[in-house]
Parts: sequence; C-alpha cells; structure tokens
Amino acid sequence: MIVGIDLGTTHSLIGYYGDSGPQLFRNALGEYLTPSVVSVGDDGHVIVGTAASDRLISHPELSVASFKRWMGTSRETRLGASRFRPEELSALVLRSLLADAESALGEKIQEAVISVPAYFSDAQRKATRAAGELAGVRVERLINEPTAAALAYGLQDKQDGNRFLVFDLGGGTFDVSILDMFEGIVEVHASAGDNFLGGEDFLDGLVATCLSDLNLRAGDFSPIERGLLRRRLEQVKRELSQRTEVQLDCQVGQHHIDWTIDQDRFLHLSEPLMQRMRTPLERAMRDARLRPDQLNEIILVGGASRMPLVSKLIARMFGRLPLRHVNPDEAIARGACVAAGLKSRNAKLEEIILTDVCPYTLGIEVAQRDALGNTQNGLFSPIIQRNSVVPISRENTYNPMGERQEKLVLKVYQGENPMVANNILLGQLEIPLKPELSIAENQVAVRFTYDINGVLQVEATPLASKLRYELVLEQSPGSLNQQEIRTRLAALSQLKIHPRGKQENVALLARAERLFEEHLLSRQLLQQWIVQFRQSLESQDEQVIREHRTSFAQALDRLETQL
Amino acid sequence: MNWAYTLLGVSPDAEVGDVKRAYARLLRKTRPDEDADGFQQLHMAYRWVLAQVTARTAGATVQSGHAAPPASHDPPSVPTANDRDFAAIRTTAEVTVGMAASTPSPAEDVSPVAAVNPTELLNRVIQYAIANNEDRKLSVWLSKQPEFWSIRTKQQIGQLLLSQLFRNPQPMASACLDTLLQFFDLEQVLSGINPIALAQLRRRQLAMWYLLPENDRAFASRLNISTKRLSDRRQLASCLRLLQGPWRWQRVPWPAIRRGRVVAVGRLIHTLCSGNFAELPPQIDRANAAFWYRAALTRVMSRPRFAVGSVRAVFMALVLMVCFVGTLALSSSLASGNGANWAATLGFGAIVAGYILGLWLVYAGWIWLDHWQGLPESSQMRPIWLRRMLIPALCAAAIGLDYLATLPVAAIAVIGATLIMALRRFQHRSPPRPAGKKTRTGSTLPGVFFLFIVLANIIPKLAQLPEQIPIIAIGAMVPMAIWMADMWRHRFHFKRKATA
Repeated sequence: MIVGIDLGTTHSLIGYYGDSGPQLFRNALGEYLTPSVVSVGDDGHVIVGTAASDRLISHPELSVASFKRWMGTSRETRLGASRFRPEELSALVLRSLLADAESALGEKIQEAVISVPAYFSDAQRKATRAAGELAGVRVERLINEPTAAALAYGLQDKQDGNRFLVFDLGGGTFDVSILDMFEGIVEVHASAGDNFLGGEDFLDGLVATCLSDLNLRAGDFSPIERGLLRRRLEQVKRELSQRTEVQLDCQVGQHHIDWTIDQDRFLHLSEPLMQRMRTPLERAMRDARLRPDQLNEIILVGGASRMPLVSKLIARMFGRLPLRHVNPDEAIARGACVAAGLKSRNAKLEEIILTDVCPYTLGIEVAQRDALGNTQNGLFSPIIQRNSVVPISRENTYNPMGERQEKLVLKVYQGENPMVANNILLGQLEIPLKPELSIAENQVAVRFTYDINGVLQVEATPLASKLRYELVLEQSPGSLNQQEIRTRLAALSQLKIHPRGKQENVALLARAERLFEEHLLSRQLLQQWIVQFRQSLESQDEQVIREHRTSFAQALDRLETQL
Repeated sequence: MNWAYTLLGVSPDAEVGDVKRAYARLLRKTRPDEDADGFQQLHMAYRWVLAQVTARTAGATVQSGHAAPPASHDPPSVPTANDRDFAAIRTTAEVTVGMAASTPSPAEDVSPVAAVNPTELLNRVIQYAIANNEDRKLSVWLSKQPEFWSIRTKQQIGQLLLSQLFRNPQPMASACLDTLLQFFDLEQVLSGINPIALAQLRRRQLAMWYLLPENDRAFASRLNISTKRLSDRRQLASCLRLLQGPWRWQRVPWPAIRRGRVVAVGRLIHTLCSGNFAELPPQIDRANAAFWYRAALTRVMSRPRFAVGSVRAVFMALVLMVCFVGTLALSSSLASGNGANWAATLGFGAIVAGYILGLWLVYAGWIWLDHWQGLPESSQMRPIWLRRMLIPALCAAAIGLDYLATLPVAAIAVIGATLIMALRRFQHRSPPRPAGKKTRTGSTLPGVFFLFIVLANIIPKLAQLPEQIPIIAIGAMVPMAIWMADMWRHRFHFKRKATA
C-alpha cells in the first residue's frame, strides 16, 4: 500500500487512493490537517501537531514551526536537550502521520509519495527523501505540488482539452505550474516559483506594520508574547480575507494592542511581495509559450491563496478571475494520493499518465574566449534547459581551454544565472586528458540524464580515449549520506513519542497552557483545571480520564467563547 | 513522409486534436517510467509535429531553412539532436503566432490596456533609467507602469530594450542596468544574451556614465583619487583633457615629463576600458588613448613607451648637462676667462648626457629582451629560432669571451645577465600561480639580488683559484640547465611540428 503525503510548511496531510478515489486519514484529534510543528514536552516526549502548535505559544523555546524552509540546509534546531536537523523534524511529522494511517489501515506502510514544491532544488528534494527514510518508509517518487493539485482537480471534473495554470501559494513557498490535460494525459508544460515567498511573509509584513504603527519594537515583548501577538495577527490576516476592515483589541503582556487595518492598507503594504509573485508567473507563461487567453482555467491552491489580493493580481495579469471551488487546503494531499495510486498501478488509474518537467536548468561551468583573446571564466553552459520534459538525456561537446591541458574539471551546476557563482553546485567530475593531442582531438562529450525520479546522472566521454566517466549525484553538499542517515535513524527511534491514545490528553493540556499564556484574567482558574487534569491522568483509569477530558474540553470551549 | 509523422501515425495534414490523440494512445504503450529512451523519442516527435501543425493552422508557412527536422534515429538509441533545432522551429512558430513580433497582428487578443506603441514606451524606459541614478527608484517606477502588466508587452519591450542598448549604448550606472535586466527577466542563462557582450555593454555604459560631469565624484572615488585635494582634481581634469583631443606629437613631451602623469593617464584608461579600446566612450580619442595606455604599461617596451622614455631621458640628460656645464663654467670663470676650456667642458657635458642616454637605452633594451624571451611558445613573433636559442648562444659567447678573447670580467658579466634572463624567462612562461597561494620565499627579485651579492663575494675568491678550473664554463651550466628545463616543459610544442 502506497500512501500520499502532503508535507506542507504549515500543515501536513496523509491519504491513499481507495475504492472511491483519494481518501484522507484523520489524526488522533479527528482532523485531516496536522500542523507541521514539533515540540518537546517537559518529560522529554516529542509532540507533533495541534498540541505542538499550542506549545509554540506557551513554550516557544521548546517548539519549532516552518522548518520546511530549512530543508536542504544543515541548520540545526535545539529543542530542550536535543538538536534536530530539518530532515529529522520532517521525519517526526511524517512518523506521526504514518501512525495515523497505519491505525486506520491496519497494516504497516512501506512506501510513500511525498509532495514537494515544484521549484524545490536538488538538495531540498534529497532532504525530503532522507526525511522519508528517517521516518521508516521508502520514498521513490516525489510529486510536485501544483501537479498534485491539478491531478486532484482535473480528475474530479474529468474535463478534456484543458489547459490551466495552478497558482500555489502555501505557507512558505510559491509555485506556478502550467498544465495540459487531454485524453487522460496530464502534461506539465512549465513550472516556476519562489521558495521563500508564502503566507508567512505576508504575516511578517503585517506584524512589522502593527508594531511600527503602535511605536513598539519586537524587543519590547517576551518570546511568549511575540508568539501570542503573531497568532492574533494571523487571525486578523484570515479575517481580512472575508471582511474589508478588521480591528484587533487585546492585551499582550503589559501592552494594550488596539489596531485597525483594512484590505486596501494590507494590499499596499504587501506590494513588494505581490511584485515578487509576478516574476514566476511571467516566466512560466513565457516558457510554456502561451498567451493569457489560451489558458482555460486558473486554479488557486494553498491556504494563503484565499487572500483577495491574489485574485486581484491574477485578474490584473490574466484578465480573468481564478477558480476557487477546489478546497485549497486538501487539494495537494488528494493529488498526492492520486500519485500514490498511479505509482502502485491502481486499476482505476490505468488510463492516466503524468509527464512532468525539470524546473531548473542544469549545466556545467565553462570559460569562453572573445575575439580579443580575453578569457571570461565562470560562465554557465546549460545542457538541460529548464522546463524540459523528464526523463531527458542531452549531450554537449566541450573543448579544453588551453593547449596542453592535462585534465578537465567538470563542475555541475543547477540554476538560471549566466554566471556559475550565483548557481548551486551539485558535484564535480575530473576527466584526465592527453596533453600531446591538440585541442580539437581532446574534446569531451558530456551527457546529462535526468530520470523521472529526479536523479541526475553525468557521463563524460573524451573523444580520444573513448572511456566513460560517470558521476551519479546522490550526494549534494549539505545533505546526509547513507551512513549519517543510519545513525540518525537509530537516534530518532530512541525518542519517546506519545502513543495515539494519549495524544488527545496531551493536546488538551497544551491548549490549556496556551490559554493560560494568552489570558491574564482567568489564569488562576486555568491553573486549577490543569492541575486537576494532570492528577486524573496519573490515576491511569481510562473511564475517569475520558469523562474528565470531555468536561475539561467543554470548560475550555466556554472560556474561549467568553473572551 | 517524415519519421516523426510515421512514429505518431498521423498524416501531415492532420489537426491538432488528432496529433494529441495519437500521442496519448502511444504514450500508454511507451510509458516514461518504463521506457525512458522510447518516451524521449516519442515526445520529441510529438512536439515537432505539433509545432508544424500549429504553425500551419495559424496561417503561415514554415520556411524551409528552419524546417529541417531532427535526424531520424533507429530506436532505442537516444536522440542526440540539440534543442537548437527545436529552438529554431519554435521561434518561427512563435513569430507566426505573434509572440515576438514587433507589430501585433490584428488576430491577437485584445490586451487589457489600449494598443501600446512599443518604441515610445521603450524610449520612456531608457530615459527614466538614464535620468535617475538610483536603482530602487527605477524598480519602483517600472513596477508601477500599467503597460507592463501585460506579459507580452513586457517581453517585447525587454527584447527591444536590449537590442536598442547594444546598438546605441547610453550612459547608465551599472546598478540601473542590472535593475532593468532583472525586471525584464533577462539576466538568466536562457535569455540568449551572450554574457561577454553583456559585460562589454555594461562596461561601455559605465565608462560613458563616469565621464558625465555630474558624476565626477563617483569617478574620482573609483580611481581612488580624493576630490578634496585641488592638485588631484586638477590632475584628473588635465588627464581627461589630454585624452579628448586627437593625438599630436607636440602634446607628448609635457605630460611625459610631469611626474606621475603617465601612470595616472594609464590608470584612467584602464578603469574606463581595461585595454579594449573599442569600449571607450566617444569623447575620448582612440589613437590617443592607445598611445598613452601602451606608454604606461611597464612590462612591455612598446614604441609609445620607448618614445615617452626617450623624451624623459633626453630631458634629464639635457638638465644634467646644463647643470654640469654651468657648474664647471662658473668655477672656471672664477679661475680664468679662457675660452679653450669651453670645448672641454662641453665635451664632458656631452659625455654625461651620453651616459644617461646610454643607461636608458640599456634599460629599454633589457626590458624588451626580457619580454621577448618570456613570450609563450604559441607566440608567432619572428625570429622564433633566435628566441629559443638566445640563451645557449649567450652562454657560448661568454665561454668564447673567456677562452678566445680572455676577457673573464666581460664573460662573467654576460653569464650574470644570461642567468637573470633565464630565470625570468622560466618565471614568465610558467602557468600563473593560483590566487591566494603564497610563494615560499617571496618574490624572485630579492632572491636574485641575494644571489648577486653572494656571487660578488665568491668571485674574488674564485679568481684566486688555479687557472685550470673552468669557472666560466661551470657558471654557464646554470642558465643552460634552466633553459633546458623550460624547453622540456614545452616539449609538446615541438612534437606536434614533427608529426604535422
């Protein structure tokens, strides 16, 4: 059984392709969406999900969110006594999701298809695969998020001859894909995006504006208060999608926050971010060689695409309003389930074939000599152009620069800049040459093969020797190799995680602690309830705990509606 | 019928829908995850046929020059045709569909804004970029322009912009050019711009920008000249004045004599164009700039440098002669007013002047020899055989001087000079050391001086050695050894000639 996972910046989901189509699994709290937040409890247990996102407020130094942005780097987060890499944090989220799926299916899951932003680099994709391995599943196929959304949308509507653009603005990443669906073939024409543009950036702008309007600085607040303020402003941001003006009136620490914002002002302060969204859209349209009128639909995916300024941008650039009827939170996960079904050769999906593209240009570093004899080093010579359909294999021939060169160093880069200094180095390969031959006889043919799973293979054949030199890029700088994965897997298995049955209790406690931080007036009452609930947990009596839990939850609900 | 049509199983006058259906049908048999090579062939055929059919139905014919399809292959060999073939085909299809055309055809969609005059818009963009030095203002202004919300207009203007700038460079700061390139998404490797040409354009525009009078402060700081000191500013102004007129030999002596002027002019030219005189702004005369640039280069004894150096040497010789003669004349006039001493005095003066000029000629000759010997093997400067064999010839001459003409001192002098020449030749013809690696003992020149001092101490002791030991011959071995090492390093050059 292959499952499909949407590993998002703010939320994650898991599902599979069942008899009636894509089917999502609920987590221990009964929700489809699990927040991608990891926290370490007071007793050393690792907490994932809603409980952890509540603990972001009450214990900000023990919790971490939005770590998808750090995938592909070796940034380590310290939570309590342990340090985690982004792959390990994602692996913890994946483990929690897989536990939910296994309890629903009743069998151990061996393989998963995980969604990644279309514009994720090679290192970031490898980190996602490593996260899957650390979670105990095989990840052979990664599916691009806009493609997944298109799969979910297109198959459900069974429209034919449809050309559409998927606009995916998630919590941390922005992707654009242009697809064509006909006769059951899903063909991606072009993908573009920005890996550092998402809902969180709009929220940052809102926070900065609020603070500057009220003449406060971030340093005036403690970390807990900052978290509270950010949570409140997130709610404001969501409400701005529905109402034209929102007022925020609350007490955060010693400061009383009384602030109003309307949609126009929000649009104005988000202007630079909107401008950043133009570039990937234009690039994708240019690479697909389409005019705006040749698109049939524009689909919005991702929670942040609910903002009205997104519709305004689309209307301005394409002259039409986007489609909204797909559930922006679940579309990608449903698409990942379809991809899982495709991989497992589900009989119902026999007719569907998906062809994707390589979103970035791959090439090597070269030098060029101009007419005057000056040499320009550090140029990027593309071998596989971006948005070429995968699998693809392309070859180019290169001459050595100097007369009696002894070797040729091929450095493989990925990126769009004409100078390699601004691109990403993937690896290098050294080819020995024969210095006694002339330049023309010492030519080297370089072949790049990019397969459907996104693994790049480099082959170099010198003309003189006919030997083949190969480089399979399994290792990018900054990623984990097999040895490290094994050690970290062992370390992760040592971590304590609450069993599914206990997670509701943990979530309730976390919620109570968050409310404790948020509201000053009811602190004594909350403290009492928390102590009582902990005592009943210690009693280990299932019946008592269940009853207490329901009454506690109701009490918290009443408290929240009052405030 | 073409192999692509055969593979897909459609006829040349099929419709787009037929082609897509055929592709879908075949794709189910050659799946991308099972048969990568077959899929690539199929996909290439599909794209090509689709381009042909689209172009045909859009009403224009594909020109025969571009229509050459990629060569047919027997499956399952992987197709090796480059995307260049496809790029040519795609561009043609685009032109007919109107993507890159300079005038929009009437069958196109109506853009949200009323019909835009591309040339006028382009000029407006360029004028704004020139008028405002700040790139931030430029980027904000560009993002506010309503015409650029249409993707097609933006692409069109972007392409026109670059071709316009290449034809007609404008004085523009580097940052503004970068902002323009970023806005129109032209600073990517697939935009088709030659990076060397772009770098050249950037330098040209920057040079023109520096010469604008309102940017003299920026220019001065780039040259590391302080704008506060009057003498520095005057020097910069006079350097610029020197370069702006045509070259005349009358204008050479005065700057040659002024202290530091030649170096300053050379640095100025280097900042503006780094030795590529075609990049110079139009105000500066190219021949003039070439002259002064070559006069300022210290490693090569070029004709301008020789001219400027000779002017200096002559000037210094005259000054010394005048001083010498004047001093002697003053002292002798006090003694006696005899006119016959004048001839001797003038004669002495002439010897002094000749000495200075002689020193200059030796120095110039040494620089020239040094450069000539240090040329790489690929250089074609004639006579090649003499360049290769000079050092052995000199060693032989030294030995000859010692044995045949018995002038040991002259022989030692020749050996010393040959040794230094051999060392410098070796050093010049070595591959450049990678930046950042320090030499173990510092530069070669102090080493040579040290050697010289050691030799100066050893030679008197050597002179006391018995006559039988052939000191000169042994001394001649050292430059010969260095020369042979250098020749061995370049052995492949000779091998090729033998086989050619």
